[in-house]
Amino acid sequence: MKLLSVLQCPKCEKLQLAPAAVCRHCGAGEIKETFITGTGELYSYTIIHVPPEGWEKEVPCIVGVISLVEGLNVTARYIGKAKENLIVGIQVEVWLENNEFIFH
Amino acid sequence: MREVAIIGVGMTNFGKITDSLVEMGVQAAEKAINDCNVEKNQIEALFLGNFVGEVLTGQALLAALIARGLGIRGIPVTKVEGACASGGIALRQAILTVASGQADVAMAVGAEKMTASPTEKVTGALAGALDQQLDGRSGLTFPGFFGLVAQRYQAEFHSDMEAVAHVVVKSRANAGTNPVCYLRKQVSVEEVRGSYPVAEPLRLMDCCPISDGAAAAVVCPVDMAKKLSGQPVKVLASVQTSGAPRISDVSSLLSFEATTQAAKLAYNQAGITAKDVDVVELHDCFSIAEVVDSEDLGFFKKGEGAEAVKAGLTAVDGDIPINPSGGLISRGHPVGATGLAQVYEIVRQLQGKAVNQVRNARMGLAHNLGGTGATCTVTILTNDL
Repeated sequence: MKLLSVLQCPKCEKLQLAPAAVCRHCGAGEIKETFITGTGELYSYTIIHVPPEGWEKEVPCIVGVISLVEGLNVTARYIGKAKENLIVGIQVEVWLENNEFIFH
Repeated sequence: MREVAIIGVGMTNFGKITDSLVEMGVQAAEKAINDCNVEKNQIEALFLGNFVGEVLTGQALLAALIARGLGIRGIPVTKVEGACASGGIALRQAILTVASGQADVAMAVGAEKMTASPTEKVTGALAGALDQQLDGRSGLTFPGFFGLVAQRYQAEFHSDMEAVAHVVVKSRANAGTNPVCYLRKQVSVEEVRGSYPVAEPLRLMDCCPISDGAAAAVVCPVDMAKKLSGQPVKVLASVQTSGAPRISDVSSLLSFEATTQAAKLAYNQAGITAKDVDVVELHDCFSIAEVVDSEDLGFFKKGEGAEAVKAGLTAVDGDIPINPSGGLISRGHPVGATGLAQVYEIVRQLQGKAVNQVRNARMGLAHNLGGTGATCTVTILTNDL
């Protein structure tokens, strides 16, 4: 299983994504790296047809928000081939590739 | 703190305008000044709301250029930026300046110039309000962000985009009689759902159009207002909040905490509840945004906003008229100008001079939202001084 590096606040224990110098929820310092599974449920997704500048060759592209089992939402791009199977609530995997979150 | 009134408002038509960003700002400000009995040398501070002006036109220092373009010299001029809530924030700064006694007369201007740039460039500039360290890297756009909201809304509340499309049908019905609006042709639910997919499930007609335009307001203390205006409108509440600028900061996309918090604070400040509001201009940058906002502001329960629009509850003659102007979807959304265009409409409603007049409107609310719900202003106004 792939592991995902995220940050956790030692005070309020909330998980969050880098970059964060201090906790984004309670402001406490000394935020620590931790590892989670990258498994979660597809919270929502959108199929983008009108791209921002620089993404003209990438559309249509699917961007989803994945609700990880550990309790953190991640925005990621879909690279799977079965977009017709995407439904809110299905189980998906998220990982980091070239500094970008990907899911399938 | 002193009580504050809005004594003059003005706006350009919204749409494709050939004038420059600075020229539009000056025109709207001139109209607002001419709407009250104020001489230009009485204006002691100017705040400008603008979001992507420098990125799209290459022109910075916009507040100074607009003030000098008006022939106003020497006063403090300040540009504020809070993405799509920039106009609402500019107004709040003018209100605070007067409330605190720093100035007796201050003005807020909002302006944006967008249609001269290609769609990809505008889409990229607007995506500047996503956290580019994270969410922006996925290729997400602003229509995409609200596409995520819409997809989840459908799944969670077993609603569908046909119900949400009634927002657009209602918006165009109001815009048909309002000459300031960009898109005024009537549309059907079928036409909305049949339009080009921009960020599914959102279609082109679910999205506010890329637009040019400017709007402005002049404010002064309530005790000077009757001398300076025939029909002043009192500010009962002017609230600004911040919410999540990053999608991973929140667990739900079905409610914007910046809106719920601003609404609560504003109702408290005004000493009213949502039930006391007669007319609303809220931030319908996308059809689904009107639904979510109307719930967040307390007009409907969560999950019931789309059906409420479909049932006609938000029409001009409905229980709670929402966006009688046509809203962002039809008026257009020259981003920095929107917050002040909303206030323009509420002021005209409370003066009994709106084109789509709500009967006996005495209490009005304007809601301006920026980014992923990261910035928000709520303003409550009354004609009862």
